[in-house]
Amino acid sequence: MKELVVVSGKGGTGKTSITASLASIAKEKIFVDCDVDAADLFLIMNPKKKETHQFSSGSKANIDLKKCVQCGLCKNHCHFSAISSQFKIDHIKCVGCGVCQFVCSSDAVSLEKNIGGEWYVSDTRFGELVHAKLGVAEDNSGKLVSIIRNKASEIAKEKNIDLIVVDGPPGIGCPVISSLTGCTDILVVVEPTVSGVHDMERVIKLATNFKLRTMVCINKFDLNQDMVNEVDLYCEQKNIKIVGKIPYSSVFNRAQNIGKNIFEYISGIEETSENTKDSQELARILFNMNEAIREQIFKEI
Amino acid sequence: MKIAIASGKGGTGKSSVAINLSYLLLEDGINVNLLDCDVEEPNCHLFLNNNITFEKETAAEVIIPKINSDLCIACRKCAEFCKFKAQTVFKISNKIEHLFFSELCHSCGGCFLVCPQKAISKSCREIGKIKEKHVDLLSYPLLKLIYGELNIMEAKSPPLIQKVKEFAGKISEEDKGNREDKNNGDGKTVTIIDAPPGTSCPALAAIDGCDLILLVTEPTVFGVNDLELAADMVDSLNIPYKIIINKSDDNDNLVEKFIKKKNVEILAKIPNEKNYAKAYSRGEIMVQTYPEIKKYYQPIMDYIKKQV
Amino acid sequence: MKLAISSTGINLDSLLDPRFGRAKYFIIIEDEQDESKFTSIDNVQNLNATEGAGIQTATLVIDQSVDAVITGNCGPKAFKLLKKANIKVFLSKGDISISSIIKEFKNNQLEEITEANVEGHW
Repeated sequence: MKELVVVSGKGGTGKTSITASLASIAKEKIFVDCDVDAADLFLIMNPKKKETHQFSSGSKANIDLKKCVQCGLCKNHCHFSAISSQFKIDHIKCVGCGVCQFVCSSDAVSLEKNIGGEWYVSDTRFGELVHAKLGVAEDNSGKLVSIIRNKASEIAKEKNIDLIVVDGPPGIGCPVISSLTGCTDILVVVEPTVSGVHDMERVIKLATNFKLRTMVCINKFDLNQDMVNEVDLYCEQKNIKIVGKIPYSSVFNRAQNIGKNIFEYISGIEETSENTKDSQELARILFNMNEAIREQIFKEI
Repeated sequence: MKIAIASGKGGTGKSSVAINLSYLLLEDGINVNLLDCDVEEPNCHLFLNNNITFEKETAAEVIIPKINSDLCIACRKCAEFCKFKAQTVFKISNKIEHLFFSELCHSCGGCFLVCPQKAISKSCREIGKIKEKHVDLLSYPLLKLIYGELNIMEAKSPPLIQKVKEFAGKISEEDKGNREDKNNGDGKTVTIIDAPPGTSCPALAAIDGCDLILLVTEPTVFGVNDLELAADMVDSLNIPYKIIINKSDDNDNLVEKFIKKKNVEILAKIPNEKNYAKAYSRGEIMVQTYPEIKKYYQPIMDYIKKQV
Repeated sequence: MKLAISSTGINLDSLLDPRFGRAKYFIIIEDEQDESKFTSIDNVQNLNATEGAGIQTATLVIDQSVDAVITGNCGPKAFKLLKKANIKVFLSKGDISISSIIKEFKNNQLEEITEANVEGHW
């Protein structure tokens, strides 16, 4: 089974739009949206939820003010400044470590299980989608990511599906590490900007630690030729295949705004429309990219 | 005054707004401390590479336990206490073995407290770097850029974000006296915080304690969906916020629908121009390349100047 | 050799539990040559743990001073612990009873692993 994760380091380079355009990469595949704190893939895929699960993410402390004698020990020992001078717990700062409970002189602290969000298995017109919604201001996104990826690979094994496509989160921290652990291939979507290239290099360095097969796709390539050259050079040195160069195009936003992926949008526009030529060129580039990615993922090493 | 620039969605233009705003404030004689709290992928420094007059790098460390094997009796109280299961102890043929998983440790200090033998002492582990740079953009005043850079393979960014903010806090305390004495500027300082994307713990750590949040969005379905999540996050902290539409175009009504529901103000609209994107791609400060952009920032400037 | 086998039940007819950290039970066999001497231990507290199931279960098994573990999957943290305690890890697959696994073990049919065979999670 192959698992392709789409990442970028920098946010907003086009991960989700490109993930949605990979819908035609294989007949049977499962999608996972691992950007659990700002999930957007569902806006294109229009999922019909068939399973909903609660995500429990550790615990939070609670102080029973009736028992509290205001000795201040909990406040002094808390490393997260989560206890106010009125002995109320700030649930956003509390990590549930239990130190306050341990030091409490009047047995006033309890630890309560925290529900940090929900995750779902859904049907979509592109195949099954496993996705999640992390509660606002919650932590532990890495754990939620590993839960939904495990679920996707369970479904894939059960149904004999040999490809999972993952829309990854931005950054290089906990949810990204959790998205990369155990996957087979990554596609890095980079924009040719000073920041885009800097962030791409950091996320590829991270991927090197997982010994993953890496591909790069340059989005908005006509923005800056010098930066494109820099990406070309970097990839050549690292022996990374560039699978596509996509032009700066408003078609992505227009497709997204009516809930379609790029191929659906383009096949739906009128032949006479003034954008037809550009759109068809874009479709051709993306189609070739799909082919290149498929070949790369399934080739025998 | 502390202002955080945040957004649910990545790539909406947080860093760009943070840099341009800092530039314009300096131009008006206001001292600026710019904190890049997107420690996983810090970018502001890429735009402020010239005219650096001072540079300093400090290791950012978190506390971890160090066990003295001579005192340990393998009672395992530390392992039982640790809610994150970051350590365990066992005895193998009379030899005590400790295992510590640093990626699980939250540095809560619990194991130090529970150990009946006082066998656990504090040790440190580096999770990233804090960098301080002084940039001479407009000959005067200086821009102080402070940012964190998380080490690769390090999972948790909030501790580093907090350390960046503490570090900057110390600097502005020191400066307070200095600036007034030397009559540098008019003594006013604004702190601009460039927050990481998302709505979970890293974004929260960055915006916590600020006086105002500017939520940068773009007029797309993704942008507005994530703006709603970001607004909920800001509401959970009870901090006032305003909206900036970046890459504004004929789809702004998508954002306007949202602000009616929430009763919040759109403070500024920055148009979607490929030339602006190109200047950004070269790592330029946009208002320097295209001074006409200043007018779009004017409402933000007016609002901030009223507050300080 | 003293063995710990992850199990879905408490006797030798029970099937293997392919999970290590979240196995329901462990069957402890004093010596593979005499399988009548066995006990079962309940792993329910780790089965339901929100985090660190592998680490805790490994500690539980180490405390039984076994020489080898037989299970379906073993993650990196549990493996690190077992290695440190000089416990060998063997893999078995599928719907198979504990007594058949012991037979396979005696016939050297089980694969010993030198690193975790599944990825860890957070």
